[in-house]
Amino acid sequence: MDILKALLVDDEEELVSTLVERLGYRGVIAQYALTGPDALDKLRTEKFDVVVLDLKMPGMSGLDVLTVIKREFPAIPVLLITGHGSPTDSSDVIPDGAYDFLPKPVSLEKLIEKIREAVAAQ
Amino acid sequence: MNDSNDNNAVHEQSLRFIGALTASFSHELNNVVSIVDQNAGLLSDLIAGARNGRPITEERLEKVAAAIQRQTERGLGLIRRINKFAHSTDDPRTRFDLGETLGNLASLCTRLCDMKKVALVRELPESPVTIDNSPFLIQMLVFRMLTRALARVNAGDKITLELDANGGGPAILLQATNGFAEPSEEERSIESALAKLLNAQVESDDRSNRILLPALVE
Repeated sequence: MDILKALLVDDEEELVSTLVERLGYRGVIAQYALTGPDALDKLRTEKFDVVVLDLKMPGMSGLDVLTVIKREFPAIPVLLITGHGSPTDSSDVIPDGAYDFLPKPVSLEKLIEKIREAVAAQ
Repeated sequence: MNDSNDNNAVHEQSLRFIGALTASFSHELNNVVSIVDQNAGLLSDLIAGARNGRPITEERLEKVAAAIQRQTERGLGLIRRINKFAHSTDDPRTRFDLGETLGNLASLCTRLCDMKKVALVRELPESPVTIDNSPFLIQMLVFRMLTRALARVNAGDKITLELDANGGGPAILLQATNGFAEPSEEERSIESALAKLLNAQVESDDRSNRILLPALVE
């Protein structure tokens, strides 16, 4: 299977750093960013195959980050992570530009499946 | 609004208040569970790696154990705080330590402030400030004012929650760097209905809201 490069964006450092390590054992090279602006900086300097983005973050929200990613990097698929049962607080509809969403706690196997699916669909 | 309408509005807003706090609590607890879950998974990965010839160091195991321990403590703290809040609805009126109750509310609101990148600073007395009133309604009134402050903040601002017990009755003071959003007519009437139920006076200006509560009568 192809090696994929993923950027995980979440303000919970202990969560994303652990996910990065575990993804690495499974052939997904991942990096993390703790804020929206950090994520955008990384995307502007390195190439990633997929972004995994938490919706609820301090400051710039996940939806705001998604809007910028879709404007600047329309080819990169974005998977949303949310603590709610639905993609956003108020809607069951996946926001425009996102490939899919996964509820927290995220199953690692499901995440990898979605990452591969999202990249294949591009 | 008449008293009956006021009571209905207060009841409806009580549910919203409980909903807002529990949503924030459950979101944070979800993060805690996610981190514990991923670290447990990481332990399995490390064990599987060791079986395949990738040695695990003691330091690595200690690091994972420490992460699980940290998150367990964080989760227990969250549960303690939401439990204390839940019990503030037990009696419509009771004797309680106002400083402790405000401290607990501030802890529960920390995440809401963090999301806006705002510091919620507490200036609460160390010794108990006992009053006889409704802990739930006081928290609801303070939360409404805090919500109006959060509607106006910029990243890096500061909101201060202060309790002054020197004088007659205790005074709760909420100050915000960028002031408070102007309450709508409905919000104003709910806040004044709450103040009436608490037998409190509310004073406000551009940068602060003050709730003056009746002193404890022995």
